[in-house]
Amino acid sequence: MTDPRLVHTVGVRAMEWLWDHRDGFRLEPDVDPEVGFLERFKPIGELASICRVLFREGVAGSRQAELARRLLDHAWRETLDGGRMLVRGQRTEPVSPIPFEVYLPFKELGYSQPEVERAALLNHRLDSWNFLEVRPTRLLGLSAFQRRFGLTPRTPEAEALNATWLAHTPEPWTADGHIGYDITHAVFHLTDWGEHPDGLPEHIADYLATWLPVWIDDWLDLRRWDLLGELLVVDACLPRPTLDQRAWEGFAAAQQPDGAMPAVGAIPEGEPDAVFDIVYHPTLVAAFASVLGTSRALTELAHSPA
Amino acid sequence: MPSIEETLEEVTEIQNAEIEAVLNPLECDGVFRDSRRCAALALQCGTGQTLLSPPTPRPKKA
Amino acid sequence: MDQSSTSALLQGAVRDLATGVASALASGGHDPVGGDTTVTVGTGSHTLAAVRVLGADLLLPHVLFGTPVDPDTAALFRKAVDAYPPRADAAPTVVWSHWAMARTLRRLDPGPLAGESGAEPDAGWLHDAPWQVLTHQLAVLAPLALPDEDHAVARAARRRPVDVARGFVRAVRRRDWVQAAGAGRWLTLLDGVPDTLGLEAGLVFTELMGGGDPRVALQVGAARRVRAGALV
Repeated sequence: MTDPRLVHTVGVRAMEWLWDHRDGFRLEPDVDPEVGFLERFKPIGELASICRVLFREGVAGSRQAELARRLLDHAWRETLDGGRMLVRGQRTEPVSPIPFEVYLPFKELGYSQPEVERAALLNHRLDSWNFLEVRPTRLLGLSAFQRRFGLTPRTPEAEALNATWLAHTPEPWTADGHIGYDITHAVFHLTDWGEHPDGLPEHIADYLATWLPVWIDDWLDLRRWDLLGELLVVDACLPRPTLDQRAWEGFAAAQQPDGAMPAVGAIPEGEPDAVFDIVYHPTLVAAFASVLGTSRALTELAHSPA
Repeated sequence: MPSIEETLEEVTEIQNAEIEAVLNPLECDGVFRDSRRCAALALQCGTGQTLLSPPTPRPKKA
Repeated sequence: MDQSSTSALLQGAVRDLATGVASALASGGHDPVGGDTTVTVGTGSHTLAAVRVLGADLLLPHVLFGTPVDPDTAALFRKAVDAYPPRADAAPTVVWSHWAMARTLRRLDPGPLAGESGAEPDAGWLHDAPWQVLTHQLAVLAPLALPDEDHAVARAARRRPVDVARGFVRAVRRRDWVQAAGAGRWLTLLDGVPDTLGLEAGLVFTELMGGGDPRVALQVGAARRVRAGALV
């Protein structure tokens, strides 16, 4: 049985690192147009989504919950300038879904930016916005976000799901890294980031329960910590999580003393800013996996016979 | 100097040990695996998704 | 003695034998198998050792198609059984491999066997093995994967079809084609293999990727034949 404290500690340390490095979540107002102003919004949206998970699961412990709240406040007030940066993003690239995607978790936590909301309502009406060519799992995510926003998804989630790889439960021995991320992202959107594990259709849950142990073994063996972390999130979303002991121990061992989780192999060296760009994502994932995993581990303990 | 019988015995013994090693192999390291592009992807942590997507370029210092 | 060159010679001799068996399986037993072993592989102890390593699978076409074994091959096979009994501390796969050869001999060429009781070895080491280990060990013991078998290794495999399927996927991902092919051969015999595995395509893939190795070709060919129920 995997030690829940080991799982929990990964998240505690990851959050400390994220708080210490919060300035890394920085926009670039005078960006090179080739790169685009909206590119650097994505990490902020991820940060918001995951901190929302921390609140929701309610096992974070006071320090973690406090850090999550502080990070969210910092991101909204400082990085997004009270949400005004989202407005600016919307005005810079009106047809981009990114401001909407970033805004939603903040809105669900009680923050508000009326102009972004009005743009969301308008974009919901536009055929153009709704039929932008995006990858199937992203379309699934956009439909889910529309629902969570209170809008009827223009592409029904079932239809969006059917275009994904995972919906067809394909041959598991073909799953490479690209497919790995398609799997994890589909699960995130199906379950509203772990909030509703029962959002997984039964045939997909069965398929994942069967083959996830192999993929976890694979990416652990390859020391692909970022993808492993996402798969541990998927595991926590299953009807019966395994909380794979070997995987969690390897994952925890890869984490640095300061809480950073490397993406692949060892922690990269270099300028702090460059390292942040590589490391913020797997560290966010580590916090995510830890929160969900801890919650499931404690549920298991509560339900196991005395 | 060993006798012919002793030498043959030693040969058979060595062979048996070798055969048994072949019949009880350790597992090799995974040979693979993904292409360089996939390895690069690992550093990007997923493609084309708005969330959980590639790390974005570092803002230039003023 | 130079161990590495001997090992290379032994592996080469095993591959030569495997090539012959794979051909015979593919051709449905219409060509004699094993008749060329002494000629192709050469003389001396490498041939005998290679027969011991390939084990029961040397005679697989005869088991599957009912064709008679030529006397020279039978003699060589028997000699390998006698010359290389498992040592006292031999690993379970070594013990089972030898048992499989002895049993094949009893089926095809009944005759006096020195010190062979026929009793099954113990299969306890598989009972609680993690699925990775289970599959790896089963693949090494692929020669035991035949239809309608009732020995402890087959029972161990039948109890855990999902785990063996997982091991197959893992072997493919690691590009361990020999293990994948051996696991695939077991899977063709098991009930309860998940539909989503895509075993048939997986075997074709394994052959495509690893079929240059005759051991892979042999196991994939065996899997095809045992699925077709060619056991006589």
